[in-house]
Amino acid sequence: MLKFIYSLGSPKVFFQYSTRLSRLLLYIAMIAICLGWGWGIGFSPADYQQGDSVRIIYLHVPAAFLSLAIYALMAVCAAVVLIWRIKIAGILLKSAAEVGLIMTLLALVTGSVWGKPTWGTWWVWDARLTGELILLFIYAGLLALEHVIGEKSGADRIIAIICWIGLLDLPIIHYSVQWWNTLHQGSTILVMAKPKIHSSMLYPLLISLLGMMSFAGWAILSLTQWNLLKREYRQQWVRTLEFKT
Amino acid sequence: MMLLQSKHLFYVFFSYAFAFTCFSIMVIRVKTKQRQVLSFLKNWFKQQDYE
Repeated sequence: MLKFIYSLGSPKVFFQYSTRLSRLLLYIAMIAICLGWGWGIGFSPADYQQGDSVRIIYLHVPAAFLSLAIYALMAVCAAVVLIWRIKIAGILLKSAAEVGLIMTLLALVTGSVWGKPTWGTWWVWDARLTGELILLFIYAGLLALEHVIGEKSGADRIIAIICWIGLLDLPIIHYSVQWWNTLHQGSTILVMAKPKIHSSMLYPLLISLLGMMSFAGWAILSLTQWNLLKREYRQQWVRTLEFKT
Repeated sequence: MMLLQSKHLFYVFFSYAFAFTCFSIMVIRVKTKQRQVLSFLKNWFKQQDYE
């Protein structure tokens, strides 16, 4: 297993595996999103208090989860860049930031739209909401920084260091509902405990989560592949690959 | 009651429409990147063959 992970450090091997994996992820995403959203919008029951607006859960929860998960992935890539100086990790970090930004924006907008009928307001300066907004600015800041410094020597390391500083926001967002008395509700799905929602809502939520995770995975891998080819264009293996793509 | 329900459905519709837009942006971004890189590589290989 370790040998396999080590081999992924080679751009050629990474490109070969990621091509196959990204295609598979796209198929899973298309099926799971259609099934999860279709089930959630058309067949899952409305909430007795929130009515139909609860159907935003099949979109908001996966988007919010992904906004944090993608940043965690970026932090792992940043560590790989700083410790082992593997180029692919730097490219993966930048590609993931683009997808993370969209997911964070989606989580904020859908949360705001859900907040209006549920809380009676579009926005409150609640710890969870403010933390998520800061995360959006961190993503935007990283992308802006990447745009400014481009591919200069040491660019990957600078972005990796900034990414690690931004990591402080993740536990604040995750534990904000426990540390402070907030308007935002606590976690609905817990890894170590029984879920707090009925199975008729849980299953479409999990399927939507799988679909959106696969879609994000496809987008990240695809962007990484093309950015990798652009960086490695002088290499002989790119020349042989070009005919296949 | 009907008005409240239709308002809720509008919020749901807006959220999914926004998500669809975001996902479309991501697909367009990936496809644009792919086209840019492939065109760049094509020109590079042509230049190399010429040299």
